[in-house]
Amino acid sequence: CKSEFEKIRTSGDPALVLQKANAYYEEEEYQKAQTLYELVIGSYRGKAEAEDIYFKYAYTYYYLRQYVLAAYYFKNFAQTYGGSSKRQDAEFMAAYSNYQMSPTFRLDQTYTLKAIEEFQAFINAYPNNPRVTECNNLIDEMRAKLERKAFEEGVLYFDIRQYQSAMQSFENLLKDFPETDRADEVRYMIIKSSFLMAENSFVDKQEERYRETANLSLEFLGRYGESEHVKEVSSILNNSQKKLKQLDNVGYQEQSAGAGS
Amino acid sequence: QVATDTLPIFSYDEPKEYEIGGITVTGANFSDDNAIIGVSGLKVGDKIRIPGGEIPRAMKSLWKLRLFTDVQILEEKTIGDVIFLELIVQERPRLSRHSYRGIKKSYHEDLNETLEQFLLKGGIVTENVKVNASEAIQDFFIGKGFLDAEVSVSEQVDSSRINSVALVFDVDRGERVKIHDIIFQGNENVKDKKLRKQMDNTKRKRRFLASSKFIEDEYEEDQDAIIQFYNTIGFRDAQIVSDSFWRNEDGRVMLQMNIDEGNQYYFRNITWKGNSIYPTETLESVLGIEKGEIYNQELLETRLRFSQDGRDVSTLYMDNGYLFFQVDPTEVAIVGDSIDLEMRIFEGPQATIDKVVIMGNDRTHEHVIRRELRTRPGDKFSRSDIIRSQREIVNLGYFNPEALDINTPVNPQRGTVDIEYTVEEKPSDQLELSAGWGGNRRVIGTLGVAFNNFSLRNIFNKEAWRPLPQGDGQRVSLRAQTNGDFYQSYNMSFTEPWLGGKKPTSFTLAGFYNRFAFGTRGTSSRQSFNIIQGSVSLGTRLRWPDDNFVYSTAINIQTLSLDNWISGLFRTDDGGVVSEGYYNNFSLSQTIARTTINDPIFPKEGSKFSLSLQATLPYSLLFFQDRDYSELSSAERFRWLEYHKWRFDAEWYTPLVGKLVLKAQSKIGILGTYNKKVGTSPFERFQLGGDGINNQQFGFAGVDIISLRGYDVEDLEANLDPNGGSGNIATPVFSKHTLELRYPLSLNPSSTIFVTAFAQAGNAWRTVRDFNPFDLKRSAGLGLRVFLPMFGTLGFDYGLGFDKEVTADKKRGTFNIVLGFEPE
Repeated sequence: CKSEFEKIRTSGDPALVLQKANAYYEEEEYQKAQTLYELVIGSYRGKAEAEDIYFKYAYTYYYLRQYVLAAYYFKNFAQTYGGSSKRQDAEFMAAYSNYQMSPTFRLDQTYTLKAIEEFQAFINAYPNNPRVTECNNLIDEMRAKLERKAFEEGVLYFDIRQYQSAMQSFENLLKDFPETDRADEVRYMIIKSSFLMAENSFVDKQEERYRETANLSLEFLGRYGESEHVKEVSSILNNSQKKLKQLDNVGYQEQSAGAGS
Repeated sequence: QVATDTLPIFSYDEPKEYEIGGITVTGANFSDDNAIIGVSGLKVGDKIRIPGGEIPRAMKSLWKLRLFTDVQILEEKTIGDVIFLELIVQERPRLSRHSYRGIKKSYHEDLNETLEQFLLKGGIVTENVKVNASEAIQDFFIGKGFLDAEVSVSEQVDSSRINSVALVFDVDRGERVKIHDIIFQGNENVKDKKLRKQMDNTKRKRRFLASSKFIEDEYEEDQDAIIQFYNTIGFRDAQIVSDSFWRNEDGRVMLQMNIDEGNQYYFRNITWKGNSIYPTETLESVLGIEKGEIYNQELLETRLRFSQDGRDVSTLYMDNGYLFFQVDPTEVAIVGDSIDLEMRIFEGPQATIDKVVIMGNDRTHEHVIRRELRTRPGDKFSRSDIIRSQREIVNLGYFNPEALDINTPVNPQRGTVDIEYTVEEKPSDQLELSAGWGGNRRVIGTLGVAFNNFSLRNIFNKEAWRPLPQGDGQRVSLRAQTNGDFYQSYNMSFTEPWLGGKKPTSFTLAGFYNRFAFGTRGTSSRQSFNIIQGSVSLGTRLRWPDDNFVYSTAINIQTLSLDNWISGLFRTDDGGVVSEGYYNNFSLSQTIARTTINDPIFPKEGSKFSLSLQATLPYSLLFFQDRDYSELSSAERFRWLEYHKWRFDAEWYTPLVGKLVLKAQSKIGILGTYNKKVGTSPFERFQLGGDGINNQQFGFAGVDIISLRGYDVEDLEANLDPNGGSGNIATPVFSKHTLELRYPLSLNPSSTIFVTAFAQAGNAWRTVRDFNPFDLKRSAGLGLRVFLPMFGTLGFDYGLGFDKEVTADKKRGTFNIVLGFEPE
């Protein structure tokens, strides 16, 4: 004995199927609605109902958390029904589906990048859409996530004592996220890495590296006088200058010893 | 087209803006007018430019529906700057279904796939569609060697739906056409046979089963192969001047090629220009082409750029970071049949790594991968670092080794390179749920889980439970086994591979409780044996001698208690059964291991060595010097177990031919004592022989169980009861050596399957003094292994033992089953 759903599914009557599909959709039975919409999409091609069917069909994927397909169908909708009043909604939802798939910063950020790109395209295309503010907020949220990822990358290299790699990662962060509001912290990490790299270098590289650290520190103090890291940076600057003086003395002694012999 | 004449002419010099005042649709009998307008993207009230982008875009959208054979957008009228548009479409019957006649059903699916791009259900049927689809079917059969395939198509009105037709393809595929002969002309320096051999796809019909299809594309490829062959032997001007194709009287294909071979050329002087890092002699020796050799373009390219074994000029530079390296072999003189080459080299700067990007990790957290990589931002590029990083990624065991992709996009302006690792996650958790025969012919139920990529930090994060918090590379395993009252075992372990996140120092916490019990509680028939153990271990990667070495140290606290336990497995040196008592087994283990194996399931090459020492304090020498041990019962003598236990394992893998891999392995174990008066510990001994599967079920029962294929435990003399009893004892010394040929049937990570042929030799001895490394029991046999990520290794071995007595109820062959993991 067939269930009601099965009866409708196999009825072969597009009008009935559509009517039931819409009913299921209203009742938030999205899986059933999706199955039925799929059946009638072909029959309604080129008809007035097609637009609405397709839009709801895309939404069933969204509600069922199948965001990859949801993004695909929303995008397809926007391309097919260029004149639709729902076109902008669909484009937003395509981007929003990708946003839903954006994972924690510790994982692959492909969907984050895709969502940012699509929200940006949306903003550019429809600057007057009421959702533009929301788009901007979401973009900011995801950029912050990407920035956090970049920051943690630098911290990892710092932790495993790969100071040069840490510096390079932090510098890349400043290049990729010029708008960052933790520039002082990033630069402080660079200075700390630079100092520790000098500490762990062979003697013949030390002078150059301490000098670099001192220069970075001076620049920092000039630029971020208000930063909470001023104290630490000053102390690094002091230490670097001390070390430079020591190296200078050694160098002087060696020189004079060499001249004396 | 009639409409052409009436098309209004707009001047492109002055595009004008109009407001749409109305849109009408003509010709849509089966489609909905409003839907058509909707798809066009044009709306009443919109401002459009004519000429401009909107009208063509609308046309394109309507065409894309594939419902019309014609689409026009006309200006109906204009009033001032308000325009009224007319969309004229021409509809055609739509396709409801298609079918085939004259061919077997097995083809239908392949054909449906082929036709997908031409036929759209609900789309319109035009002559064009029909012709394209028919031709596609014909090409499909020609591709299969049916050169005479004929296809015709007919339309049938589908009465069940309005405006629908069904298409029926009538196919007569005809006979498969074979190639009768291939004729060459003009080939003076190379025999016909040699040339035919170059043709991989196009063959003469000679043998019964050999394929001999004529497929035009493949024939052209084969012609290229002939020319390439000529090029490798110095005929660099060789060409196929003409070729012809006809059918002989039997309808078979005849092919003829006329070849102009040209002259044979030789290398003469090769000079190098622009090299500063490597001297000319080094480059010459890598190139390895001598003056007077036959000119071979392919060889030249191989030695310059594409050598399979990585010994070419480009690799020499690239490995050292010269990623922008280019070499351009230029012919500077051709004298007679001799060619002078000048190698023009651009070395470029040494590339520095800018970013290291990890993609595709949708489960494993980035830092778990990144900390293992040897390519780091700011380092100089080196190919060997990439290869090492690749190995480290595979070693994590979370990713599909076959799908690992590494890209190195360069930025020539900045002299930098990015390194992009794209990984593909594979299931790494194991679930064990089994019922099997235990040692005493009882059913044992097991429930075990191993999560190899756990995330402890997310354990309170509800979002992360999908289905488990994962991604931090921690390992958790939990296992419970029981067959009711007789046997119960509970294990747990937790490993954090990077304790503190700063160094690859692994931290493991493990514990287990095992209980064996027979007989009725509270009566004298009751026998029991309990073990409780807790251990903490730290492992760290060494920098010296190289960083493949790992050193680990562990503290094990174990207590064993026996009550009326007369299995006879635990013996003192003189054969006395240890059946009562409470024993403290507190030891410290030290292990040094080196591994270069990159795939833990089916290693293709690499080696693994490990040497370990597990030792207790020498209590009898430290604290109880004045004790007379000969007077004490075994329970008192061994209350504080004392021993030093040595294990040495070595494994080595090397590829032989193709996918065939040779595995060589040696294992030695020795349990020593500090004090002869105390004697060898009855626990921590070894038992060699059999399937080693008890290792899994009674793994913590106070003995190390080692398999020996081809022999059961009782087949080894040393394992027999010295007092003539029926039980088997454990021994303090064993050694085992294995040679194994392994061939993979499937390397798919979701089911790795391989077959093995093995030769093994091993033996056990009752005292260290008896140990004779040449007195071994030999065996050989065959086996199969299947690795399923959820269940671990499953398989069997059949081994023949050559050094055992064969009697009526003792066969030479022994059959062993592997369940869960490879036995020791």
